[in-house]
Amino acid sequence: MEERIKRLEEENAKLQQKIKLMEIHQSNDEAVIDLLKKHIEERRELNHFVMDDSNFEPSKIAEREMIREAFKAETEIHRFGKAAQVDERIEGNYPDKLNDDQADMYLSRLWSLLAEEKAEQCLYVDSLLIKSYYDNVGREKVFKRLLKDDFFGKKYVFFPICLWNHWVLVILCNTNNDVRGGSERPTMLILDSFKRSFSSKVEEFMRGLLKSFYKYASKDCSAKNLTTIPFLVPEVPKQNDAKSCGFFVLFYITMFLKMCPSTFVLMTDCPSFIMIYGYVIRGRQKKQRVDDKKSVNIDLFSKKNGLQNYPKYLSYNIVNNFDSDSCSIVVEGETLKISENDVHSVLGFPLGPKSIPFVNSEPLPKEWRRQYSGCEDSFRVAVKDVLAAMRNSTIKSNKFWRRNPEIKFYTGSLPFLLYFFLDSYIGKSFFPDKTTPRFLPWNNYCLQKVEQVLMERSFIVDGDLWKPCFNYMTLENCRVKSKNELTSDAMDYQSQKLVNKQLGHGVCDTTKNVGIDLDWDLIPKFTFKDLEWNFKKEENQIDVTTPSTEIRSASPEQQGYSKKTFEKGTTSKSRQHKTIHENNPGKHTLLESLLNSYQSIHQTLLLHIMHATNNGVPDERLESLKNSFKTMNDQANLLIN
Amino acid sequence: MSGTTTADEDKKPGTEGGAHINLKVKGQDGNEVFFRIKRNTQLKKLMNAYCDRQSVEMNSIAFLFDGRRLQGAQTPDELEMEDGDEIDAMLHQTGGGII
Repeated sequence: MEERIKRLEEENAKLQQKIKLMEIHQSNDEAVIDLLKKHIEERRELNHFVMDDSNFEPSKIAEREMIREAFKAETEIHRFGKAAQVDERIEGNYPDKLNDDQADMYLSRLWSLLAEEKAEQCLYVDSLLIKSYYDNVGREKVFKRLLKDDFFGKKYVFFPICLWNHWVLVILCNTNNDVRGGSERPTMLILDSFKRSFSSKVEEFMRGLLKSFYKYASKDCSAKNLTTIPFLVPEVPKQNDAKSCGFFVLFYITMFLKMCPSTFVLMTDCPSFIMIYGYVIRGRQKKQRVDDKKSVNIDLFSKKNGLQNYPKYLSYNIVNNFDSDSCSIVVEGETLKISENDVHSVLGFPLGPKSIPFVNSEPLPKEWRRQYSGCEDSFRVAVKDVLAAMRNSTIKSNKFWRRNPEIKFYTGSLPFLLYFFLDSYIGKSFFPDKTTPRFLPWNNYCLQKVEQVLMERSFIVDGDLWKPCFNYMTLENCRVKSKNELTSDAMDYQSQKLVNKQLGHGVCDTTKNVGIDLDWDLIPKFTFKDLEWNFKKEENQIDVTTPSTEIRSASPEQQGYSKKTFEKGTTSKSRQHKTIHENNPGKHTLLESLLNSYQSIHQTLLLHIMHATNNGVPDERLESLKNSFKTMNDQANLLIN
Repeated sequence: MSGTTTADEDKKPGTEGGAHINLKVKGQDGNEVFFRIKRNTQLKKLMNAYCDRQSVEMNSIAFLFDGRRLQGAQTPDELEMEDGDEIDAMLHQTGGGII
């Protein structure tokens, strides 16, 4: 008793120490996480403040730029620790802004890639032409050029305007139609990537340009008509820095060319093709809103071909721009370092012992976690959730396949695919016949069988417990293969083992027979053929001839065998001998009963042995059992002799 | 270089045959510079000369003829230029979003 108490106390102390250690770990983790969180939040706020234009009035743009530069300088100093380089950068020439040469190159290339019909319908006006019109240097030349380009034969004319140090895109739709009235009359759209645009300035400029151009072209229209050309301001993706507007203009043009209908109908196309945000028709009708379109508040690029696809391009972009060496993404000249912690906090991949802070406000991690049911609120994704998700996706893809048999590609989870591939690969090397990938399903039947076999086939060698080793493959095979193969397969290992142990042939034989009998229910009784019995008899005789010392060594099979023979001797000695020698049909039932009794004894023995080995305490009854087996052996030998 | 100065730049002051052409380059400020080059000479030469004269960098200026950008490798023949045609020289524009 005292010893026990002592032991318990010791264990208690150990446990308490463990708990303490765990607590310390936890508090450390929390402190570190808090610190990191704070740091990240500070950083994010600053970033936000600096990057977001909405924090600044247009008049304070210069100020904003200064702050931005200061911020950049700070990071730069961090990076190089040199102030000199910062100066260079600030005074640099902003090579990351679009200039008209690049724009022209891009556009001419874009036009050359367009389908011929479309290219004929669309025209872009060189930004330098617009500039020279603006500068009032040779306006006639500009108009001549436009006329040469068949300005009035186009459906869409793009004006990439680069004035006032800013790029804006104006699209003139239905240029080829009459200015007066009709739903298909010319319409102007201004796409400006800057938040507080100066669209009124642009509008004024454009109206002036059109007016003088129409006059020059001596088009039959009055100035009054020209001022009624609707001037629409659709909602478009915006830039969030001070240099990317040019690229946005190119982006707008590209997207517009992709989406535009062959004729732009003001009333029907506005809501569907180009989403207009409470658009305003200016000019004669002063800021009169078109009522039925007023509520339309959708992005220009959010429809069908638009921004829905953007994430795809975005991900391509990210993958293309990801530098795996430095673990960073290069976006427009700026490098964005990606740390393990970022991946950890966004995707929730476990990172060491740290738990994942669950950020409620961020939709991406939330969305990602939602895939795995049950962990929306938890900090990390459990393995079982991943498995469940895998299973579901596999089931889904299976259904998908069934519904669409013509589909050749796989839609399920990747791990399943790997498994599938691996299995078919392995299968090829081991099972040449196999044509379809296969699995070895473990059902209750198989598991019970294994258990049963374990119980029945375990044996004792020199007092040690020996468990049978199966080739688990055979468990499945036994239901498919012919029974002969099965028995040989199932027993192969055991018998080999026995041979290795240099035991008598008879021993092998007994186990074999036991195996056959015990083996799967599927095997009909008629596997016991006369031949086998004859063989067994011979084996018995051989066994008899083997020296008695081997029997005394009491190897498990010997025990099994000897026990059987012993039982033969005890319960129906004479009869059994008869059956063996006479080969009479009744022997089956007899032997079965013998074997059954053998099994029961064997099982109790095994139970005792297991019990004994588990507790480490020698069991008296076991000893007596062993002794009785020995005597049974002896008796059996005597009998056979 | 204020006002309208006329500078005859004769690279090859030889014969007055049809092989040569007089071209006028007009800057944004209205200045005009005259050049005389062979019809099959690449316009790169003209551009270089103009930039040298204006002491500006080649890549900061765009040349437009008939509302189209000139490529350095093009020749007056290709563009069907005629005697006395005007070429516009314009500074490149960039835009970033700062008003």
